[in-house]
Amino acid sequence: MFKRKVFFPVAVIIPIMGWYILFIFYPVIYALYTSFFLWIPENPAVSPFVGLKNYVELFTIDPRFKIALINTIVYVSLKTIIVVPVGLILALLLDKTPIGRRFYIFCIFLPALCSATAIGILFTYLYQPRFGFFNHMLTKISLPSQGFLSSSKQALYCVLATDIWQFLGFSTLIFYIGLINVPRTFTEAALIDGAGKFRIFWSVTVPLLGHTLLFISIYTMINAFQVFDFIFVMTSTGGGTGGSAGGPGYSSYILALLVYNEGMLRLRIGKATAVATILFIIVMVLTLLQFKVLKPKWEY
Amino acid sequence: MIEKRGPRQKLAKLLWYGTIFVICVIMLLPFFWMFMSSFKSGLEIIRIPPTLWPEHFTFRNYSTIFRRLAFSRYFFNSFVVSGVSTVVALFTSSLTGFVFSKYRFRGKEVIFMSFIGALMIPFAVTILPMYLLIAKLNLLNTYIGLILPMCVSPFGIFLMRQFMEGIPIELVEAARLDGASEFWIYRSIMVPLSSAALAGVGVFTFLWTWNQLWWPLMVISKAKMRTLPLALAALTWQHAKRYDMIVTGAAIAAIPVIIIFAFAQQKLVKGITLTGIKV
Repeated sequence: MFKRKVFFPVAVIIPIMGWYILFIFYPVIYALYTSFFLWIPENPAVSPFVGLKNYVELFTIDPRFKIALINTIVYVSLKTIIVVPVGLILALLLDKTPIGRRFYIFCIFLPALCSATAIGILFTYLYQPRFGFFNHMLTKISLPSQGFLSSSKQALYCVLATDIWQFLGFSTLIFYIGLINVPRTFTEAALIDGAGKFRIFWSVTVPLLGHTLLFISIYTMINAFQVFDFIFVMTSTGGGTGGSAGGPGYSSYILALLVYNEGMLRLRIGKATAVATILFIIVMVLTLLQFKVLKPKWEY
Repeated sequence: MIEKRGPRQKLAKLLWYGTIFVICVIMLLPFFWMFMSSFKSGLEIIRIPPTLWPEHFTFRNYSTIFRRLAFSRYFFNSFVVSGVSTVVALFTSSLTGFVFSKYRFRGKEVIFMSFIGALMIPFAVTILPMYLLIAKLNLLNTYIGLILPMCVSPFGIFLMRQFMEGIPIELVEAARLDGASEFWIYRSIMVPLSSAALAGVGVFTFLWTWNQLWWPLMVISKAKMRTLPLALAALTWQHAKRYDMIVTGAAIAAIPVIIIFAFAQQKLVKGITLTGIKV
């Protein structure tokens, strides 16, 4: 009996651990390690060690890195800043709607279930400058036509708008579930004490949603840092050595795309893993920071 | 809501429903436009100004995409990959969740944290080494190459442990006294009692593997082995100007999702509620 209780957990944990080593721990260490080399995957033994050269090159020579870094930061900040409050507002609307709630959930959540690829290619059609839906609407209300994805000023924001349109359903639903879980006794008590509606919302409901808020803001941020599918299918090929997507020019380049283009298309593994390592450090620091700042100090 | 009747309340109510209506329209309009366009001919779809209703209702785009562009094969590939990944991930998540919730062993919390910490690691970090590994194992352009990295779900392990903590340990101990094997306890007590959480994890894993593009893009180079998202992305680089194919491709990718969601909405929402993302 005692033996069996030892054998079973070990028999479960060891293969799972094996998977983690192969597909998580080994890749992370590999990425870190190779970022200091001019890595030749076919023949690691002769790969020259170059120290921080890959990193230095990114910050000094490669024009794409700086653009990609700024674009990624803009993208992540805007997405988080928009998705979190709007999701909360939609969830509140949903929570207080007496009829048609199922239909409302259906509408808002439907895009979130579809793949980014399908949504992305659909929106390339809607954004099409000449016969697309959006310019058709703009001319109908007598506004000037826009370049959208073909304009280097707008491409990144067009992708961002599509991403937000899809992602909103997810954050709304999670906030809605959070709202259901907030015990009504708190808001009722505040109401009896004579607090106004806005005051109740701001001083009772929002703080009680702390855990949900933390989860959504961290999840949205990590998710936005990894944006790849939308950029890859929606944007045009960048010029010169730009590789796939990220255009026009380098205007919608993001870090994940740089990893893909350097690693897969130009086979410069060391440089690609250096970009990945920088991405990893940024994500980790920001995640821990959010935990510190937003972590609620109460339980219910 | 507090019930008071008067012109101001009526106006507020009208505004309320107006807002919700506008939001629903914003969310549904792209889908509506997509379906309308998918029934238009290749010439009508690029007409300026665009038409709302198709002039000649045609299913040609759908038949072209299935016959000439072999989308049935891509559906099949996606189904195999997502189906197998989901079943395996459900098995590994529930088994690991069971062990973490009902056994005590040294270093348990450290191992658990290292398993969950994986959620913080961007895919961009692991994807290149993973690709080189799969290439070295000669698994490029295979189902196994697509499935192997999806077999364990850190999120699934986390949720299953959370849920199984709530199942009384007495049930497990009583079964042990009756001479049941550990695997029997897992199969006949833990799994049936956590079916709600399993449904939630299953839906999420399936959607995640069904929708992903980046990993198939790395592993698959043969057209025959493409998954659905990869085939859709390929439409934009092979048929860059063929918006009839692009919009029909998006439509056939959305149709199963819409049907499933329409029928299983309550279950799905309940599943998400039950998994209780309260962190």
